[in-house]
Amino acid sequence: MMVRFRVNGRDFRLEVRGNERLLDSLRKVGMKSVKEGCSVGDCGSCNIIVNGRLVSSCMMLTVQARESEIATCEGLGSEEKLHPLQKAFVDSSVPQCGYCIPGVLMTAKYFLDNHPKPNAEEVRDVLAGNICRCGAYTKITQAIMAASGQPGPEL
Amino acid sequence: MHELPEFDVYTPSTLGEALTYLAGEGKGSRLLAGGTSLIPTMRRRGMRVQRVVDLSGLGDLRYIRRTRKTIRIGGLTTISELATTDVLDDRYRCFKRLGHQFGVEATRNMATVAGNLAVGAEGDLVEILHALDGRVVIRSARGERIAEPTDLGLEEDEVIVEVQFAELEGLVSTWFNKFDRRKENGMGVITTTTLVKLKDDRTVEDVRIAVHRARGKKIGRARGAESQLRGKVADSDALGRALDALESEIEPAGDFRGSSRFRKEVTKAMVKEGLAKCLERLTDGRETAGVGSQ
Repeated sequence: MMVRFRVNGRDFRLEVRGNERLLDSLRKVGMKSVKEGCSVGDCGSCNIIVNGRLVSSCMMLTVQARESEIATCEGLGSEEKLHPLQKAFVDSSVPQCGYCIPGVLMTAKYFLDNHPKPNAEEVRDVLAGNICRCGAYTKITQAIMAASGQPGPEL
Repeated sequence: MHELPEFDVYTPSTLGEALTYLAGEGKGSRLLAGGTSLIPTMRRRGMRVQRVVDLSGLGDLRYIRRTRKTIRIGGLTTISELATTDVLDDRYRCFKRLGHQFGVEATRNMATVAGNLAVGAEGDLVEILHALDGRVVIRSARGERIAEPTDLGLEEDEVIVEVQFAELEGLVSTWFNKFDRRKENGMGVITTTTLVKLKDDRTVEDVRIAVHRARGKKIGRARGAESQLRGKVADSDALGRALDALESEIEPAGDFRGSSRFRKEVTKAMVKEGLAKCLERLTDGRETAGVGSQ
């Protein structure tokens, strides 16, 4: 089945099988920031934004994303010009192993797009959908607060 | 890469196309709405499926409307849309609560009303609709039928197209509670839904209490508890009698998430809190004769 979608402003046409997940299709077209974790929507490692909505790409078939506008971590910023969230994550030395970070960044982008001035409790609430095995939650919360131009919780 | 089992996907763009397919060459297909239940089930249990009908193209089934004192919600409305809609005011806090108590943000953006109902016994919406005396509109190529949310009896060629319930009017408030071992994204060990309508400042005109496991694993109403409050002054004596009635009328099945006795105790505490939350809202935070949220 032929599926068309746009990822980070770039058009793609893909021949896919019915059972192909969006997670796998995105990695095939080079979006390696989209990580597989639990494969059942619990960990948030594969979180991306489809038509403005945060979704788990492991629970979405590629055919469901036909004609969609998709945003992944690759589209956030460039090495020369980091997105404010990426800059805050670097400044706060957030990543440890880094595996969960692309999913966390997409959750954070979606969240700040819809709640530009959250408090730390609201940030912690939305992070319930992202599991970080390194346990970097406090630094993640600080960085998201910093990206929203607000002080974070004390360490 | 963890592949799903092989299956073909049919992508109808209208409900008519979907129903015709399900009645003919697509007999025995599984329906895919939000995917948050079907995809993990295929992964976890290795469910074998030959054909899947992807309903995501049926945009006409995504709506929340108020028409002639009836609220109508399209089957493909997402939980996020239901929890954040402006169509439902503060009386419908039971739905607003889903914005925090149903999965996590990504799940709420994907999961649909029809999908949660079709999952059945453990679905939060089955219980909420049961408390609202709601109805479910089901369609197939054979026609349309109306079902109770707790007894859908879905056939393979049927699609849940809409849920309906009477608009809440007057001094009425609702609350949905979920007890789980983690703050979000759990299965929900115990859930309760309460509705209170006051005639005046203190007298209860209507009350509805739906609990997750009323008898065995079945969602049901605590009608004995309801009758202890309906028409009565909402004071601590009436509340005490209602909770006693609740304790004697429910027989929840126990499992590895919680024993029957544990479930009964927590259900009682959650119903008490739900009633108090409704009453607090209806009396602008003034305590109603000792019925606080403690």
